[in-house]
Amino acid sequence: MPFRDENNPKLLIDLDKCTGCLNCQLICSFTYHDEFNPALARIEIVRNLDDSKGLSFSDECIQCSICADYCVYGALTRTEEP
Amino acid sequence: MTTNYFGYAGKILFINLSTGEIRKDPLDLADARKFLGGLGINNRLAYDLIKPGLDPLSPGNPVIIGAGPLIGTMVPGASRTIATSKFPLSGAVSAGSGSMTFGFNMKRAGYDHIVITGASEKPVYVYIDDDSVQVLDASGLWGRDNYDAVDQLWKRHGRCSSISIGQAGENLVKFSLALVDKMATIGRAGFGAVMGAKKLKAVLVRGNGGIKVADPKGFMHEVNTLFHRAKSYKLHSAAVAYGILNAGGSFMLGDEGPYGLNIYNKVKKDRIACPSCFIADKDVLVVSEGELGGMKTYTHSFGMVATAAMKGTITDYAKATRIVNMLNRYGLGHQEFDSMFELILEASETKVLREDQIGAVGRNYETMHDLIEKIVFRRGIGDVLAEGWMATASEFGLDTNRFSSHVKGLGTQFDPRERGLGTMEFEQLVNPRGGHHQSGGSPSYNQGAPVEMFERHVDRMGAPPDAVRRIMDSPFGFNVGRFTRYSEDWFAVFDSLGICIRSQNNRFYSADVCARLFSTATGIPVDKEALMEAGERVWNLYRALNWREGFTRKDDTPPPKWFEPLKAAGSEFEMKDYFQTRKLTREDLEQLLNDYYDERGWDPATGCPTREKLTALGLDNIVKDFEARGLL
Repeated sequence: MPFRDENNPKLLIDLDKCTGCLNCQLICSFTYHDEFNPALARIEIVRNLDDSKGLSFSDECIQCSICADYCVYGALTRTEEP
Repeated sequence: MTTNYFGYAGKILFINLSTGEIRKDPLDLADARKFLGGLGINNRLAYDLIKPGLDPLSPGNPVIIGAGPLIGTMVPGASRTIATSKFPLSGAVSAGSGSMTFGFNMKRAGYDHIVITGASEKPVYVYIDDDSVQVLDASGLWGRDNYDAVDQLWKRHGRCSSISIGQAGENLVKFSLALVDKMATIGRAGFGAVMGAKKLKAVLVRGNGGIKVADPKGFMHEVNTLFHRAKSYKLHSAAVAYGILNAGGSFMLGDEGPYGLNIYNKVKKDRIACPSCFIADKDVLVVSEGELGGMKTYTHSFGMVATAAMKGTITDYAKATRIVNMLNRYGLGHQEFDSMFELILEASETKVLREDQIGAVGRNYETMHDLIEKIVFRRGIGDVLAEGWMATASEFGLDTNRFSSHVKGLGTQFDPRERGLGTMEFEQLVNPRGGHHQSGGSPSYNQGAPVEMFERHVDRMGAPPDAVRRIMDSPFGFNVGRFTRYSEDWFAVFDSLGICIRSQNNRFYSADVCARLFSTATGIPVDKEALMEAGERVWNLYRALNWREGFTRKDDTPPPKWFEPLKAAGSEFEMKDYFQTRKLTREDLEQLLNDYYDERGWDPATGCPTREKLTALGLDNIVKDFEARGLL
């Protein structure tokens, strides 16, 4: 079921569509830290092979939503705030 | 981890399981310029580390894992990890490749290459967590299958990436392989046994660092161009939905039937992508009902289930999935198992093998299940079968050429009698590791490709205009021998940079794009000519590694079966060229091999690089070495 995270309510998150490609983390860290490093990203993906999946935004997220622009699977979608 | 390297992580990690020595050497940028990384630097390391003639299962045989300079960045599909060693089934120095998150993690931990030598007396696993490198006791994991063992390790260490073996590798089955993250296969032809002989159950790696690039703006310009092309690709959604079974927007295996789209949609529970991939194609498959309800397995393609169903005439998808699950969990190579299954059935049907020798066998699930168990645990006849089908044929006095198609002891996957002699079929003859195809996304993967597509493809791969003319000047539409040289060099570039070669991904790249990506990522300026020359150098070194092991043109011989009609579906099929112009003779094949060696600048008598070629590629050390060995 799609949901929103309070740290970035501009995005609709659909975990069923997340494949764990990590492009959202890569573009976020590269944009704000000049390196590709998921540990520095403001979006966190939990995408284990088994049943645990999660996606959230840290307090540092400024809601630029560039992560959604690089999500090709439809897991992150820009929408109007509710 | 912050380094002064761009693109590269900057270190090579050496682990000796016999002595316990752990060493970290800086990556030599001269090697990076010459061999790019991944496959290329693996080959360079293998040249120094593999003593010619060594037993693949001896402690001296190294496990060399490489991750190219684009891995860890956003270059689409840049997650290709390469494992090089001397593989026991063929005895060839071989490079297996697999994706998922291993290369991504090892780069982030600070290593471009990991070299494991020696052997432990007791079962161990290697656990790498950034700077920390430990060799730990695996006695509680030995005897467990791939999934079970990795689950235990993840429970112990948290989520990280793994290359692991199952019981097939532990029991030194010659066609065992390893799994990456429980999902991607790596090293058909016995890489699993190489790890097993070292008593190495798994290598785990977790990295928390990042990768910097030399020219961020220029680099992202290239990435964005690729990204937008890929995103607007008209078959993108079909490629995501069907993976490598996408055939022009439709599911390759049809909508209905025991392995049609109806079944695929029922069993596919999720999709997994390798890092930075925009065409996720790893399946999580779950059987939802019946006796096998709840069984979960992972594959790079549902095609594995379909193949098991076809080979064993299994109509129950749950049972076909179980065969795949067994192969995965045990870490047994599915292609070689299929070859073995066919050999036994054919030899049995023709009464060359008797029931008192092999037991009651049939083309069914029960035989497949039974054979897998016997081979993996070396029970009864399985102890012979585990040595591979050449050994099996020898044991039972079978003519290997009658019952199988192989090159250098490695079974071929593509039979030219089925769809013509395309790039994949031909390349199996000359590939250094044996009957394997690494054709760089050639148009011949699909039937009915127009001849113009071959011309565009070879141009995209960076072949110079005069070579394009030579390739296209052929009575067969294109000269597959000459074409193959560029497919191999293209493949060498992809596996050295770390980009996935699959046609769904590779279609968006050109030699120019790859050169700009490499230059902007690493700060080492190259143009497409220099990049493709590096690819050529990497492939020449690959061939030289195996020339040193004794492989020459005599080992590039086409399987005799190819010259006999293939009886299938009530008809007979003969080997023809890709465009089905005419039947091909032995002389045609010899000429195409001559053309291949000529395009490579190799000696047609030996099928190996000439002194001039090696010198032109800056491989002077090999010239000296080979002169000393009497090879040049």
